[in-house]
Amino acid sequence: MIVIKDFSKTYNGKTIVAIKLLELSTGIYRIEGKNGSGKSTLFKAMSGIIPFEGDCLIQHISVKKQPVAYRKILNYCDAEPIFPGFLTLKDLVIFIGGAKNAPINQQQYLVDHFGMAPFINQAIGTYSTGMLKKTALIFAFLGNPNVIILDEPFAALDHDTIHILTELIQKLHHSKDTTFLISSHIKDTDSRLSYTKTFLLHDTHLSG
Amino acid sequence: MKITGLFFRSYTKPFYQAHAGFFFILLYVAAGLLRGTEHIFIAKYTAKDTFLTLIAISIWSVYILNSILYIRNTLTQKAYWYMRQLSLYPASKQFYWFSLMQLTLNLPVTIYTLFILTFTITLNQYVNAGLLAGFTVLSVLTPPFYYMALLKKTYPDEGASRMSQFINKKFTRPYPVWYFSFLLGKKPLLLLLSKAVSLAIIAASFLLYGTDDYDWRILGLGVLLGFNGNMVLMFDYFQFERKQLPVFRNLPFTFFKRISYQAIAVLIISIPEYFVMLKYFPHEESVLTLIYLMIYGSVLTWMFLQIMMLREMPLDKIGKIGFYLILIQLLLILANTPLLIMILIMGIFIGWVQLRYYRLISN
Repeated sequence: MIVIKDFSKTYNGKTIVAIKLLELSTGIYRIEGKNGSGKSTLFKAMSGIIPFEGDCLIQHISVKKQPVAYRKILNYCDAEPIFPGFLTLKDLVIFIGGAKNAPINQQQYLVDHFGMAPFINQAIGTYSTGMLKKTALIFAFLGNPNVIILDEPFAALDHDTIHILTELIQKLHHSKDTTFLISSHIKDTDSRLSYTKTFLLHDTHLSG
Repeated sequence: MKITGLFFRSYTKPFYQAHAGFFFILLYVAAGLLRGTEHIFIAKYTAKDTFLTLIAISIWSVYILNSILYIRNTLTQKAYWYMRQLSLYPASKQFYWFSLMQLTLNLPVTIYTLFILTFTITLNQYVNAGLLAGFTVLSVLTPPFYYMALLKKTYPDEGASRMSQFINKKFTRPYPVWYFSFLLGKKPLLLLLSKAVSLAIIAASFLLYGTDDYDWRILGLGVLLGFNGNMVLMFDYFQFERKQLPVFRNLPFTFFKRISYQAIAVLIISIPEYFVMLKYFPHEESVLTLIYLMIYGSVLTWMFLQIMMLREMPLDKIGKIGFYLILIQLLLILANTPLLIMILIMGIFIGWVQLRYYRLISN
């Protein structure tokens, strides 16, 4: 279960997102909102990437009080992933996979599954936008997370990869009870996902 | 918005931001280590001698070349592809904008050239004056032709070479060497200059030891001031991790893992200093002092990184904090405080920051 309480994120005195209390049981949740409504900010804060007021707990593990344990059970994929251009997918998979305790066969499976095996030894700086997105998605599935946050996961992906990703989300949710928090603007392509609930982030507040 | 403003925001400002570390070290040497009288002495000496004038020009040419390469790299980056539209403007306008931009990039060199130029005129060294004036004008007016030619060309393919793929297949870069690889590939000038200053200070203080009745403190002061140059690299390391590896903050690293990763990265950065210390260390002093000095320098470098983790600040603010820290340490060394105690105090500070690492980035 995810619990977000007394959450607020402000930039230069202006509140971007404020959530008094939100409790989410296992499921696949969609977060909608206009550009700049604060979806990515909420996701980054929940992932422990940017600071915020309040707390976020997964299975009673707090991002603030048990930061290492929390990061073991929450993975995150950025909407616009950035990695040093001189590194290869292999460098990063080994590093992030090691941190997330991902077995070698899982690392290999994800790289193959997303069709990135032929590019594993190529510098990331040479990747296209879609390949970069696939790279970030591979990292989001590494290890054994209880929660996976995917910010605009379908953007820049081709039709086949969207299908692969959708299948993977469904499979993981059904087999391991993994909770997904997904933001997306593309309604038609990801409609095959059966969402537990859709939230709207508007005017700093989340409504369901 | 005026096109000149677009040039300033697209090229000049990012250039100075990207080279903030380099200019910080330059200021440290020019305004901190050298006094006004020494600047005048150097300028007069350079103005009088054609050979020295040519050496000065060749050093400045490296800076100009670096600025040209920076603009070339920027022009071929995807984010700057909109600049390709410039080729639709008349050539005279393109030339005017690029010249103005180059003038702003050359500003530090131009100011120093004019400073020396005044001495060549007062000393009646007209050949040297002509060389300096010619260099100043050409360094502004020739690069625009290259930029204009670049605009007309297609962008190079970004496909990976077979050689690099072969190397990448055989070797995996472990995390602690990532920053050093980035530094070598993207900011060699910063690395070279910071190391040149650090090594020169350490070598000078170690050589000074034998010239008079000095004790370990002269070596300690050399290490303190020399390793201070690594503050800029630590600032850059912090920015590298924050901007290029935001995912790092989502990774579950234990205290010991973080400590060991950072320690190895600091050790790699300190290798050139270790070599100079080993080479010039006076035999009269004990090996234990040498070991303590090596650890002291590296822990000092490491401490700078922790200050940045405490609170994100611009380089000039960190410079101010660094200045007071150096001052305190300088007084401690002069007061004959054992190195081991200073190492322990800094070590405790590093441990304290690392224990709070996730709280610092989450609060």
